Amino acid sequence: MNLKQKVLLLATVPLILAISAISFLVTYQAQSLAKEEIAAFERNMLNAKKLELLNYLSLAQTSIGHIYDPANADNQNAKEQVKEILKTLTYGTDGYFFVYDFEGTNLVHPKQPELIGKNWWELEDTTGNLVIQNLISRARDGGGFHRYLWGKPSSGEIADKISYAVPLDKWNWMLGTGLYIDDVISQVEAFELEVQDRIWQTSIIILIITFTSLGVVFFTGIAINLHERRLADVKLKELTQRIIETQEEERGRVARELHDGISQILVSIKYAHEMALNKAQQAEGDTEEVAKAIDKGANALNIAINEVRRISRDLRPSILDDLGLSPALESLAHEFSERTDIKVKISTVTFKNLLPKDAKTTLYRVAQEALTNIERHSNADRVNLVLSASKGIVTLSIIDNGAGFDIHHLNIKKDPLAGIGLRNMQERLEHHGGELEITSSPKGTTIMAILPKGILRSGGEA
Amino acid sequence: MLRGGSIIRILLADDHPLVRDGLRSCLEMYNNLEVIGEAKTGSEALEKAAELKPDVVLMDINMPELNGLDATEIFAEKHPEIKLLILSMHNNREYISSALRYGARGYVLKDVPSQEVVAAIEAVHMGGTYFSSGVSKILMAYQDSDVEGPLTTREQTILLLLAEGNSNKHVAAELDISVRTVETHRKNIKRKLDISSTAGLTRYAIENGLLSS
Repeated sequence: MNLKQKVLLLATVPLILAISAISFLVTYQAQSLAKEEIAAFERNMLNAKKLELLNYLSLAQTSIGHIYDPANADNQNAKEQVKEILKTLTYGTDGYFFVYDFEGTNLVHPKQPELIGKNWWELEDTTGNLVIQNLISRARDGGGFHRYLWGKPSSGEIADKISYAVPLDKWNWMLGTGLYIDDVISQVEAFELEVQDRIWQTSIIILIITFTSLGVVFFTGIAINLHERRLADVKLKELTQRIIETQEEERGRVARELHDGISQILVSIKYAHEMALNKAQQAEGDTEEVAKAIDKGANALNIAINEVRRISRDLRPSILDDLGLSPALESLAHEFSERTDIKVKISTVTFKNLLPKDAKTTLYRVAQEALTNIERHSNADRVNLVLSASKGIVTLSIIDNGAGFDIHHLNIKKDPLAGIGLRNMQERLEHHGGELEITSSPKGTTIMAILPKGILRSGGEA
Repeated sequence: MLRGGSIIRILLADDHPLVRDGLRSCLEMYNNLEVIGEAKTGSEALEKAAELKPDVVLMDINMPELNGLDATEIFAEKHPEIKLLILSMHNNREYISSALRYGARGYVLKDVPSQEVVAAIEAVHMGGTYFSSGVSKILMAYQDSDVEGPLTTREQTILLLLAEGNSNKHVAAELDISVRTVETHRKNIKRKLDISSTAGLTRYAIENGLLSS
């Protein structure tokens, strides 16, 4: 997974998590609130119905009171009178009174007279509720509500019903009346549907917000990414250009060296050999002349060998690989002194080849670049070159006593290579996790190349 | 050119076949010289020498695997009786002085006439030293400023082993050299670093990053 994907993930995952948590909480809260509301509503409605039932029943009790109260337990006449009264008492579309004895035999049922005279002790509704037994038991307890399923007289369909039953103790009778509560239930259901609808709507809104946010994150990410890439592209182009320029310059230099130096010498060797051949072919040829020509050619060959040696040393000093950094620096310093008459005092570390190969090259190139700058710009006459390793940190310092320069205002126009050289040194060191420190004053310049702890022996051969 | 006495048996070590061929044909013109083998790397030179027992090894410096200088140092340890003559393109003082410190008997630049190479072979075979004209000039020029050089590769290896707490015997077994040789190296290391105790060597190795603490 690359950095871009990680950042995108970092931006979107918390967002998605937060929104999921919020929508879950909102849904849960809304649902539990609605459940409470619905329950309260249902309770209130049922309470109203129950109150109604109590009123109806007390009305019925009042209606039969003048016969029941004075009558004794075996007064058949009183019983028949009471049955008649209750049979005629109705209210609303489905309101009526029913009477059973305590054994479950129906005595009064104005809406379903076919029930009268039969025993319904074992009657169950579709949910397994023993309707009559339960009603009788409420009555025996002194009066109470019972809820069950019963056919609605007006439409014939099975509906929820709540009844109140009281005892007529003297006669072991249970008197009851009931109200259908299907209207309550359908209202509750409508209410529940509405709540579900509201929650659904809220969820959709949250979903839309989520997708919008994600879209914003993605598009911003892509926009930023494009911008960064464009910047990086520009930098890369500059770098490539610089590399190409440096490479071309270097190639040009090598080509010049080969053409001006080596090929001229080789041409002279060719002439010498041709002359020797000529002399040898002449019958009266003087062998001494031939020998002289060949000798001249051999001498020129030596010069060519030396040229090649110099060019290859400039390209890549093999001493760096064979003997290590210290001898390479010493060699560099000696040659520099000979060429420029600038005195170089050098002190180096005892160990060799502890540094990885490219770190050695970097330090060598830093020294080379610094010496070149000193020769070109500083007017110094003394240079100190110090390579030290202490506690695993490797430091190369090049100190001169020249005129110094203003680090922040390098005259790049006058000498574009000066700026590039310093930047190059810096980049090379940064590649190894090191740094370049430059301090300059009119009394001289100090360049310090520092390689971090841990560079030693990491890949270097001891 | 025949000088009375035995024939000098020579091993050539150079990674360029053309150079080996050229050298061989030059040397074989002399009756007192015999090229008994060739090697392409420092390690091959060591193997061939153990097998062929040459009198003189002509050693190039730039070779793959083991370079000529490091090979020379191991030659000095394991086959002190074989004379090492460096034959190189390099005319830096650092190469030349290193070759001497590593135990070479002579140093000849590759651009000298072949007579000089022969003279050098004869000189080192007789037990002398030989530097071709360019080389001795370079050595002379810096003689005064030539202080004790840094540790050689071998010395550095031995310092590391000693600093790790190995005994002389152990180091000798590890490097397949005699205990006496280790003893000599140890003395040289202590002298060069100006340290008298083994604990001092360990401390030095840690402080300079040779050994992790």
